[in-house]
Amino acid sequence: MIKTGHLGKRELLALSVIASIADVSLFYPQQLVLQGSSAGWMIPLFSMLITLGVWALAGPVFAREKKEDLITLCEKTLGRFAARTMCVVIAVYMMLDMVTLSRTFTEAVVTTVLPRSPISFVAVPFFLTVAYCAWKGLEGLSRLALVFWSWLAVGLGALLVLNLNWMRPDKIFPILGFGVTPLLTGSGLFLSVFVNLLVLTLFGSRLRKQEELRTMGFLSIIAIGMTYLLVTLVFVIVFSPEAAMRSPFPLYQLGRLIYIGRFIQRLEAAFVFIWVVMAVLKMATTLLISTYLFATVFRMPVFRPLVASTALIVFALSFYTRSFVETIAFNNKYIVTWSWAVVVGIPLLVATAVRFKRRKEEREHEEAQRSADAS
Amino acid sequence: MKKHNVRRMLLSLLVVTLTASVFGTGCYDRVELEGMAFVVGMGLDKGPDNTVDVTVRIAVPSEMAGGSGGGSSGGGVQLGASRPLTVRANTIAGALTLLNATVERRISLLHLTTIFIGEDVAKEGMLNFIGPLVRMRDFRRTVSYFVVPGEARELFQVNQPVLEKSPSRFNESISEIGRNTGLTVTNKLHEFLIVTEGANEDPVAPVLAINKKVQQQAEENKSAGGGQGGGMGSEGKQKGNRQEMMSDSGVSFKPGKIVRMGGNSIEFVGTAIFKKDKLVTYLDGIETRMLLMIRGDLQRTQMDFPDPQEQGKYEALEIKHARSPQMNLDLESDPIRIEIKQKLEGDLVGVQSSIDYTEEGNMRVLEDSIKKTLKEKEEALMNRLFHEYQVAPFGTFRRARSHFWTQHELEQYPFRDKLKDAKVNIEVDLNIRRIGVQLAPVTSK
Repeated sequence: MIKTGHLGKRELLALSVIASIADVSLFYPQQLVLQGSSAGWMIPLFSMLITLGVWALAGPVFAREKKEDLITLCEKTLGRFAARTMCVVIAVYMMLDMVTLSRTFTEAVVTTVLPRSPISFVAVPFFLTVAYCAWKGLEGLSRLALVFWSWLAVGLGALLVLNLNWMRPDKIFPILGFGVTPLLTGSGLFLSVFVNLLVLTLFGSRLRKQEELRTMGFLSIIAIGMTYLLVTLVFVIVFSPEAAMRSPFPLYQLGRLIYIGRFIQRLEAAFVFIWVVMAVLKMATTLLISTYLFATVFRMPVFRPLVASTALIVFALSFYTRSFVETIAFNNKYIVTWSWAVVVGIPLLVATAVRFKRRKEEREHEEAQRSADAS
Repeated sequence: MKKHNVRRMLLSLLVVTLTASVFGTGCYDRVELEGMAFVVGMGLDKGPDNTVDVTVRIAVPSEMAGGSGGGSSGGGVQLGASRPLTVRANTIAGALTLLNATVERRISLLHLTTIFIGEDVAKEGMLNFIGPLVRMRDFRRTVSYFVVPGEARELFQVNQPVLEKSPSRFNESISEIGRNTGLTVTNKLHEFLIVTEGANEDPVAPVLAINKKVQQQAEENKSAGGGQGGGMGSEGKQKGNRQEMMSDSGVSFKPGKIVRMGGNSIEFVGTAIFKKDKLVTYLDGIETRMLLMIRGDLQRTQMDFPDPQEQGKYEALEIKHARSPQMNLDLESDPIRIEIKQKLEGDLVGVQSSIDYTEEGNMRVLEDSIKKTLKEKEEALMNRLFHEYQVAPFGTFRRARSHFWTQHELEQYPFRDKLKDAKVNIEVDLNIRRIGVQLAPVTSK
């Protein structure tokens, strides 16, 4: 296990939540409405319930196995090859996720805040900051997350509440939106946002009290699910489902819409800060995870030498798609469609393998004891 | 070890400072305030061959702070803003670019507060013109909008505010004044857009109309050198006598037809009714109040009602909603039934007749008479708009959204066809709660 420092409970919780909710400021709420129409807000709810179920199965395994993480448990139960394959799959997934996040983030900044700036003028400082945060390691990153945690919560809350005058609750009807099937498929696909499962299962062994991991998992899943649910709900009742489907930057649009009398308006600049912080923390976390996993695969003692090169590859790949629209299409076609298998499937698979192995060992142990008693 | 840490810290500080000095001092998007021309009001008229005539007024900050001097004094000018500029283009974005052929600074919509929509644009369909604006980052959905019977350009030319000096302040004030009078609706463009995009709902818009008689009087005054007709700068005696200028015998609440003299030629009264994004008809001030009552949007507003016991006399009441109206739709019945229950409360603010309406029996008679008047007017309005135009500006269908399970079911429902013969029943409940600061009316002995 590569040394990444010790972690506090609150720090890891903050990091896992922020890394998962960063997409709320980009186009995810719009995609939810596109999938579910007036019922788009229900998709995070169902996804949250599914993820809670998954964590109820997987969480106790990772909390019980002292000083073991996803990689070591996979290696012990499924073998070294499987563990390395898993690391490569997760790392590549993380890189692809970074590619779309960085491109959509920079395009969003250029579209909304800095329209005359070249995209590289936004992307280069962004990548430098992200690489620096990742290079400082998990300990620093998680503390940074804790510092911003309450600011982000207050900011997001304010953004939603200040739009109270535009809210039309009747817009949540028809209650099933496009119908049950899109809701269910959407809930399955939306599992991809619960990156917290990977963060917790990969780094939970650094906690001083690893048994707290289980509770942290439940708390973080609820926090993430509720954040997406509330933002999408407000987005739907403020913009109406028809308009929300056509608005790719929900938080920015909600910020622009704040109009409480003559004096409380034009506040979106304040909310750009929230947007940037979330994007930086998410990018830094995914960069850290991917370099950490590559370092594990190549049996490197430290991950830091890989940070700059990985960031550079992601930077280059992020400009592969020709436009913002193409990036969203790529994200929907590949990342959203398959990432549930990485984010939720892998921890569940490893936890199930560990359970089977433990049960098998217990059975063998019992049989050995029985035969010993008999002899 | 300690020395090493200090050195590292200083080095980090140096790097941060240098980086900040490079990235923090300016960027490609740096814009000096002196380089911007902020549009504060925009008018849209239809041009020939699918073109649009865009009229703008640009803020002139030096005039806002100071007096009335400068180059922009004269007809159709408010302090703090340029003369109206009109340019013809294929799109609004194109018009803004063309405007820069005559305006020396970069045109920006960041401070745009109001859009005035010419009648021809509203009739053709607002989304053709407003839709592209929503994509522009300069543009906010929180701008106010008004429909102008006639040309929007003309409105800029004749506008002579009574009080406001700043054009932005004028625009904001007129968009709020409807809350007090109930003679016009108060809307932001965001509301127009979400209603237009939604199924089975139709938007409304406040109306700004030019009173031709007052305009004529203002022009005559101007040519006679007696001020400009508005409140500000109206020096000297106003031309024309009351008999000539106010020849209509009755009281009018129609846009552009209020019987009056002096003041601004522009009137903030009436409502434009749309079918999706196309203008179909106008409501006068009284009908607007009925519309607001049905929608549950009426703020405290003063209304006159005929005295039920003394012909020719009127009683004034301040009316407001005691609670939000309840609206029930029976979509299963044929024709569909719409039932509305309103609970209003009123304050007696003016009694013209000699009858003591503070006496309980008389008060009940007055309440019943007002309830009947309101019920008849509201039902007549709903029937007219439903049966004649099949438009739904009352928010009726909002209550019906919960009747459908899916979006598909909702969109398939032939709501407009059903409106043709919809049955409307309105129950108005009114309680006169307060009677002002006097009991029995003042009478002479």
